[in-house]
Amino acid sequence: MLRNKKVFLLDHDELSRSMILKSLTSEVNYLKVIDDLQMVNESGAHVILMLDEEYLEQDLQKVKEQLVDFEEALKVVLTDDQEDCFYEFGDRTVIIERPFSIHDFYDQATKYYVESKNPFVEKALYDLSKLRDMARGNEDFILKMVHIFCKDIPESLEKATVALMTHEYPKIKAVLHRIKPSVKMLEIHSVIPLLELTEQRAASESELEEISRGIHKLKSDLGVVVEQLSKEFKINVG
Amino acid sequence: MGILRSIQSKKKVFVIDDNPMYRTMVQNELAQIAEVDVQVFASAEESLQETGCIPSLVVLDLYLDDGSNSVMSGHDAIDKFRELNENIAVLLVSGERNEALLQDYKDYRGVDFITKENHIGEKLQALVKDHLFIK
Repeated sequence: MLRNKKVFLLDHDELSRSMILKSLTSEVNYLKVIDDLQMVNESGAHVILMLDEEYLEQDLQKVKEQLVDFEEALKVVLTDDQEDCFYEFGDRTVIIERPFSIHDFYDQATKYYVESKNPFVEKALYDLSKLRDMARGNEDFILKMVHIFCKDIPESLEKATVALMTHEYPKIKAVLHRIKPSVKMLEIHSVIPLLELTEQRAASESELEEISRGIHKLKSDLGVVVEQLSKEFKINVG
Repeated sequence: MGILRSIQSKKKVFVIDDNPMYRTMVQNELAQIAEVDVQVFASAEESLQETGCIPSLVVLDLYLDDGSNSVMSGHDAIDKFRELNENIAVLLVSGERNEALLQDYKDYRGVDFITKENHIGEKLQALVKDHLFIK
């Protein structure tokens, strides 16, 4: 499986759509046909967009608006003839000619995830070294802390999302300030700069659009961490 | 009877922090000190409802703010504890780097500080022992 990657399929042809769905549903952890553009809160870093070439000529603005960091998403363009395919999605785009197999998809989709040469393994975003130092060999303590993280972080970011909708920026600042030690404790380095920046912006109530994008991205990235921890420690976060 | 005497002779320490991981970590560190009995709380209000006992030491997060003004700040909590007993020792845990502000707390409220970071174990234990058994 391409762990933690969500595949969104945009294909006008119903037959093609159902065939792709059938071949991929059992292989990827999450596959969604986009018809209502329900992609809010998804970060492009964790999304693979499968598009049929018809979409290239349409206005994809709505997709861009709904997907945080659209540029980071891998775009897999499905075409009937590679020679005639025209695409303009930048570097993170690959073309697959129909009919294609699941292996073709894996080969192309994993090509851009250089950190993981094996598509079945994805690098953890956290490092438990500090936590293990604190635990002094007490595995129950580590498990307890991981449990707390997996429960508290999604709840806290949900509170921040609600506060965002009601424009309560001091609350957003307070939530982000509160979760910061947890993120640092698990050494989730990729998230810390954005967390601190969004906290500062919320404190000064400036760059409001960036606060919104920041919270959505934090929610998505820390959601991946919770998912990875849940798998490692066999926790049901329900 | 021996066990009861042992519990009674232990010094009571309250840990108040709104971050559940941090307060669990502090609790774990203080549990290494045999002579203390630790109780943890998510808010100052919750700890002040614990009327059965007055702690010898409070390890307190300076910023208990939830952004709504409805939660007691660490600042106000110090005053409330001192109303209960002016000799309660307070150890503030904070990421605050403003030296002038920290000095104000020291001068006015006589509290001690420890920086909120992950590797505070030995330092925290040393400060707690210092407050409970030396000062």
